[in-house]
Amino acid sequence: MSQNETSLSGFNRRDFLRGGSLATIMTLLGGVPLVAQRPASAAEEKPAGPKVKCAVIGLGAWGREIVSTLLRLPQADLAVICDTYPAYLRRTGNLAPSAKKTEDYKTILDDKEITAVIIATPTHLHKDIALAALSAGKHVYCEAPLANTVEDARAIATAARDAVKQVFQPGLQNRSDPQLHFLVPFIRSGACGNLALARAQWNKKQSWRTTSPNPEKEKQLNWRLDKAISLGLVGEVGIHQIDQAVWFLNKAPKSVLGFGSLINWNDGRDVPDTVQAVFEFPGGVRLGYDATLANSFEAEYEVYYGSDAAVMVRDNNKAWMFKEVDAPLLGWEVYAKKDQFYRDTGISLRADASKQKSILTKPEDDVADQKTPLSYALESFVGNAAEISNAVEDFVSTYGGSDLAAMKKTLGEITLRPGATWKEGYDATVLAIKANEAITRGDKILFQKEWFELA
Amino acid sequence: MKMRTHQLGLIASFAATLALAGSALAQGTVRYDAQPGGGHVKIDGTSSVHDWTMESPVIGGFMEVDAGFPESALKGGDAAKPKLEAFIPVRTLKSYNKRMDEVYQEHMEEPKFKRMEYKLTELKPKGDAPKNGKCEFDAVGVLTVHGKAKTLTIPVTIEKVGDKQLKVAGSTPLKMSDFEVKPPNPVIGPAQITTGDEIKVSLDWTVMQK
Repeated sequence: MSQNETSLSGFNRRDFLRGGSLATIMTLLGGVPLVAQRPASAAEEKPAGPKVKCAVIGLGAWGREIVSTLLRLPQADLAVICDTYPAYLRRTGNLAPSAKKTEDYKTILDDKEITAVIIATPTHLHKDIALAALSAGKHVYCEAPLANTVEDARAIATAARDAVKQVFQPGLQNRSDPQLHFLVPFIRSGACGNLALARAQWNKKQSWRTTSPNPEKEKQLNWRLDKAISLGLVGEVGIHQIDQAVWFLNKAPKSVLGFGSLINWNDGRDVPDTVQAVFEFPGGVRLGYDATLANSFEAEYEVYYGSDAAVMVRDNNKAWMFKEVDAPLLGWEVYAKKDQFYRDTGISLRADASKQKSILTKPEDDVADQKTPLSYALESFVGNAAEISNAVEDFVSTYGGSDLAAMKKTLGEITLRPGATWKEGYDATVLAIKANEAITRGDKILFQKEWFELA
Repeated sequence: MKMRTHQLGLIASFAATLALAGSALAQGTVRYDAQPGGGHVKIDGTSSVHDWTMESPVIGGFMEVDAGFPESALKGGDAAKPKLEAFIPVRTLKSYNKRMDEVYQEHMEEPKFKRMEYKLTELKPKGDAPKNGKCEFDAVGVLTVHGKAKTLTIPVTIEKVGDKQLKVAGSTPLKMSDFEVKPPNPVIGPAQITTGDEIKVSLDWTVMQK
């Protein structure tokens, strides 16, 4: 019988003890925390107040993923979809038949009914749309990286910082995932011992090329393959994993050393299909980042290696701890769920491993959270947009709208749902831009403090 | 066109007369208005699992009092009948648990009833001199919550803060059922939570002359 096998008779002692969380301990001591358990699907939640009217600008593969996710969020009303490419507009229209279609994003900004805009266009096109949307008073979710140049990213971040009455959330979706929020104190508290190094990879055998009807469109659609405007694998994909390391380690890297090669897809592109970067953090910890379009082995994961244990994050942000034989016994891990990875046993690290969950979960449902990080991120964005809009309306109806400093202070006291801030989005974008530069040049770049500052 | 100009002139002089009358009425009285960051209301409640708290930093409204207020109100008479109107936007009350906030807003029928409102009728002095700079009163007034009005007597202290501000503080027990608010009984985890009908409302509110 494997260690993660569970009796079909249902709830058993192991299930009960498995939840070695504070919630379980509190339950055993007689106190149940009054926190709403996250429903398995967003559809179970009944939103308070009217829905937030949203528009999605940019309907490529990720834009369509955003559309699909928004359609499942009870608090979101996807009112408009926008793309300059009619084929994408038609294709997404099939997903969201009730949404209005437009090829001109400016019509969305003129529409007072639309309060929230999600920007998923090619990275180099973010700036104009983000600045116009913020200026039009919209809440903005802007995909990461924010821009392909530091200047553009700085312009967006500055406008976001100054937009007192609006939510600006960069598309670093992992920052909204409760599973990763659960891991942050675990990693930072030293549960892994002395952290020695970290590594992250993204391996996927695919061309990264999109089919197109003519050469002109081919260039537009395959902007990721054009060195002049693309931040390559490290910028377009790696930014999320690099940001995770910065978040977990609670440090900004000092330098990045990069390498890039075109190994497998010699089809006229000038963006490397295989990259490596080493980020050096204060204290000697380094993050090694690898990504390739030539091989799919082990796909995507991150590992943090400490003197007592390694923590691996993979498969939609699930996590496991692998203990060293000489590591001290923490106690709770004796009863924790375990999975076998070749010769190693991984101890499951789950945000929702509480007694309440165990009682309610049938053995066959014993899988980690099915919601995606994107789903959490958009839920936060839409919920925060509604909350800030309401708070602004309440402030103005109570005190008038002239004292912006007081309004900013009042809004700043609201506890928002977790989501990346403009600063986190800006910092991650600068790191990605400079890492791509290092990869392009095959060189080491020392991060300068002023790159991360706004005027 | 001429006639229209004439009509506009009439309206303007009527408005000017009203404004003058208003300022005449206001003579001898001082108006204090709510200011951002100047208020805090806290509601403490109970449930079958543990106690809970909701708070709001947003209290709107104004007071119109005589120049000697609040000491003058200790002598009773007109000074003890100042104009005081206050309100709290319902959705600004937060528990710091998003789901609980949603349950609360549903039970308060927001946005049908957007505000909790209070109108003072009279201050009944408790003692004839301030204690530690604070004048004590029983405030009689009408509280409207969830569209239902109820006359309440609430013990309050009122003090002058500097030259330009007044601070009002008080607290009182209330019953949700008095305002036809059904105590929420959400199902959270494996348990049905029962919320107690009785709550305690505490408030401090600093208003300022403009």
